[in-house]
Amino acid sequence: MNLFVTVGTTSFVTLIERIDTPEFLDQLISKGFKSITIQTGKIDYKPKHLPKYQNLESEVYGLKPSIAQDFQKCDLVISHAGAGTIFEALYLKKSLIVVANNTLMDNHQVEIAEEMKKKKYLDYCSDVSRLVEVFKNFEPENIVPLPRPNTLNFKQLIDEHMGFSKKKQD
Amino acid sequence: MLLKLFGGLFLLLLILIIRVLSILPIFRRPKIHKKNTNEQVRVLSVLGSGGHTPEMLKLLETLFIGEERNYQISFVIASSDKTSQHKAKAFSKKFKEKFGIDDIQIYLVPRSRKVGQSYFSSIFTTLYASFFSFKIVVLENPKLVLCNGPGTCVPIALAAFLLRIISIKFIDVIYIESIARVKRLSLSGRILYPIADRFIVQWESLTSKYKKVEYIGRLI
Repeated sequence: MNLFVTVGTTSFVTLIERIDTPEFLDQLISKGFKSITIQTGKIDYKPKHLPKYQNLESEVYGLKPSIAQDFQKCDLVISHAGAGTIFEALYLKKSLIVVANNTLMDNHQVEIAEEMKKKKYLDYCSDVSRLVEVFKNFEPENIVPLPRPNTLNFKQLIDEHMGFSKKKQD
Repeated sequence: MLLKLFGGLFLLLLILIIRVLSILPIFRRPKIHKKNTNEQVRVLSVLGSGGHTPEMLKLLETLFIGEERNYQISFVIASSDKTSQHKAKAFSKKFKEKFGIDDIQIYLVPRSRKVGQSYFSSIFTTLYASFFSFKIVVLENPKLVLCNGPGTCVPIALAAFLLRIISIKFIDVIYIESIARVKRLSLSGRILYPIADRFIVQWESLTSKYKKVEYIGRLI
């Protein structure tokens, strides 16, 4: 099994540092993961503990033009709470643990993470310090698949507003 | 003489205020156009950094579903936003191939506000962007402006509204708040809330807090 850690185009050092600890990596191994891919975003990160794990395949990089393949091949995603990342993972039906970045100034990101956790579409870790615990207790069977969006409602609204509707206007 | 001047200015200001108040969407029911038979609607869509562009492009795609080509799109993008320019060109190419539509016009404007820029200095950068935005809206002459939240959309929507005040043309402004906004509107959303003709949100929780918003389900 492969774990994909992604922070999009942000910088979320504390998450990467928490992943790169024996505490987390031991837990990763005990859950049956054989490989880990870490996308570190805007920062350049040199892993300290990860190289010691000979039985864990790893790839660490900053940014790539497209991370779609890394999403596709993984079994679990741990990411920052960016809406784009969240939907990219959920559209691909991946199990997802979202971690709040409490070093951000205006942290509106947590709103969508909390709301989606309430609906059980993903699991949410409110602070990096709790990641190992959340990861340990994570059960993919409890996750509810995200329903499809109602994008056509947008077309309908615009058509009606601009006078293209086929419905009768009274 | 001076008194007459002041009196005149005061009267003008009063008329202007009454005019603005009378056309503010917040004081009127949504204006839905009478049945449009043939005229293609020119749409000016504002793109922005982060998730704004991908969300907007997904919405725009739906306007091309079906046989009718009711809409003609052009984009407004901040000049420093290379990612959105790249995505806009890819979108234009894809739709040209798929639907045979013409190249989509892309207008560049100076950025209104960089992410994290102080609100105070943003006032000046937004004003600067406003001159360019006004020019674009006049040149492009859209019937509809679509925005979903980046700073770039504020001067564009305001320009459309200004044109309405001085009665040159009636341009609709439809605002779609990002899926990331669950409990509270974004800054752009709060600024444009009084002037948008339709204001769409993607979380039902926002409908209790803001009276004018419309929830039509999750759109992306």
